[in-house]
Amino acid sequence: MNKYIFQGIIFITMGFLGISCDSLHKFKGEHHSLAEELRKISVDSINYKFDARDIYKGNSLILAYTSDSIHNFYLPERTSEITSFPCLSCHTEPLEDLKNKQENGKQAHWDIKINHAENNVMGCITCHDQNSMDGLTAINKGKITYNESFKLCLQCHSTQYNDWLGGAHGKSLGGWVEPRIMNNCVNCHDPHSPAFEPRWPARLNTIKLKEQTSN
Amino acid sequence: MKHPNKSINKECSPDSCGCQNDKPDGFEQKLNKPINRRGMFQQLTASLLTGAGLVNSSCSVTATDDKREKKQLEWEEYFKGNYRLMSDNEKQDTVKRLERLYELNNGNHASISSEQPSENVLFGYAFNISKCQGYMDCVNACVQENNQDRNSQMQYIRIHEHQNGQINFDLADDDFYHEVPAAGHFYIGTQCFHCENPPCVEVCPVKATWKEKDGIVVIDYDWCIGCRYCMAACPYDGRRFNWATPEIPTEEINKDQHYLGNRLRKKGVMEKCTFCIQRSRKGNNPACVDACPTGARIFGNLLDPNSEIRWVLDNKKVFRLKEDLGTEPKFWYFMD
Repeated sequence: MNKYIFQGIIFITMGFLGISCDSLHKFKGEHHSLAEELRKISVDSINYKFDARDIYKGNSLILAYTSDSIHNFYLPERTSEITSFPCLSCHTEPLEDLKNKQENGKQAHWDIKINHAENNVMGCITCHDQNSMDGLTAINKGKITYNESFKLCLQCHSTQYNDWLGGAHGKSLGGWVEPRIMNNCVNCHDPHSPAFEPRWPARLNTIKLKEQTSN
Repeated sequence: MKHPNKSINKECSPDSCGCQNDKPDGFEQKLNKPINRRGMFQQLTASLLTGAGLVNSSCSVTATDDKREKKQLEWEEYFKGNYRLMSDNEKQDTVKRLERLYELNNGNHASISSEQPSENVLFGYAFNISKCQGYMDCVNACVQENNQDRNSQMQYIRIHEHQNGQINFDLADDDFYHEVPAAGHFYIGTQCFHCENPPCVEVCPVKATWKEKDGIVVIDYDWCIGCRYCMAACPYDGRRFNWATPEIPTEEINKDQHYLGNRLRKKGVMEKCTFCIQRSRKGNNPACVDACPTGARIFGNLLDPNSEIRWVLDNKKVFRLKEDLGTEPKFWYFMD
């Protein structure tokens, strides 16, 4: 109760002195939280001194074309990272013929294990275009390039895709300034086994450990 | 280099122009000028010690030029003002002195920046609790980037391992070492939250810590007296104290430094996360954001409606720690 009386006295005094709450707060308006105030503040066009493309160190960038995003953003170019691209330099014959040839020996891509959804849901050709190995295939048989492989992932992972477009999922490259540069899905997730593996932490603070055990 | 005005003054005579009349004489220049308290102390002690120093260095056969220069620079550094009150030129001067001192002490060059905040920028941070796996790559990156003391294993970031079903920092473990993510646990990272209403700044008796225009709460390491009031006032355990002179192996020192950021600290001063001011003021992400392999850390400009951080605030259910204190941290947590 005392608190309200105290607040009342302060507001009355402020009224006499002609001081408004706005003048005391950096964020104009009523007594709202910072997050709430931020929604009202918009600086329409900010000219940043720095360009994210100058900060970014890595492969060349490609502009991501997607009708879902209001703002354009960049992705690292993918095909130059794939060691045996273009695939057609080996895949000169149809897949079925290759399978018959290598029946007894070690098969190509023997090291790739698919650990992505159920075996009866996904196989190689769910994503890879068996008629043209240099590209990927959508559920409706549309063609998708390796550089824009996110269009393949979004068919099932629409929640993650929306978060990625907005900025809540994925990894930003090249800093916080414009233009936006994002990792493509496959830059973090192995498409054949997309879950992150458990591992040990990068460090142990031995001094803190001593303090904790001595207490 | 010859100053152009000097040669003009030499050539002109009192008859041809009136410039001689405007020039103050020696008394006016040196003895009759207004002087403040700090300047008076500086000059008094300077003249005292110059006398003693002159005798010492003139008689000494061992004092090298480098040593003398170092003493001179340390002297000037000792009497500089609070960073916030410095003019741009003074900032440049102190940065040059510190760079030269670093060179004299360590034998190689470090660049110390005094990059100012940009217009229309207010930094904010978001942390995705669903994504953090407790790998602690962020902690390593932070220690390396910010030249933290290796002896005391100082770290700005803490990753707290919580048991599912509760957020209780008293019961959480912030120094775990087992395979992560551990079953039945989740992870929350804490560091300085750069409050919009920072209690640490309020309590500093010497104004050695303040909030910059871009929202970063900084410390002037040369103004801090090490009273640790700020450490006590911070409700988030965001501040660290140097109980001893910080030691970093020379080859591990990050030479890309900022005056208010990762330049080398000394014994008895506070330090803390500065959102990697040496990086963020140049458009780069803090080292922890860059190092995180899971994308749990999001950094950006709160005033930019197109920024990722604003998207998170507008579209996710976010919360902050101890919101009821009214500190208004610019560090939000959210879940997928």
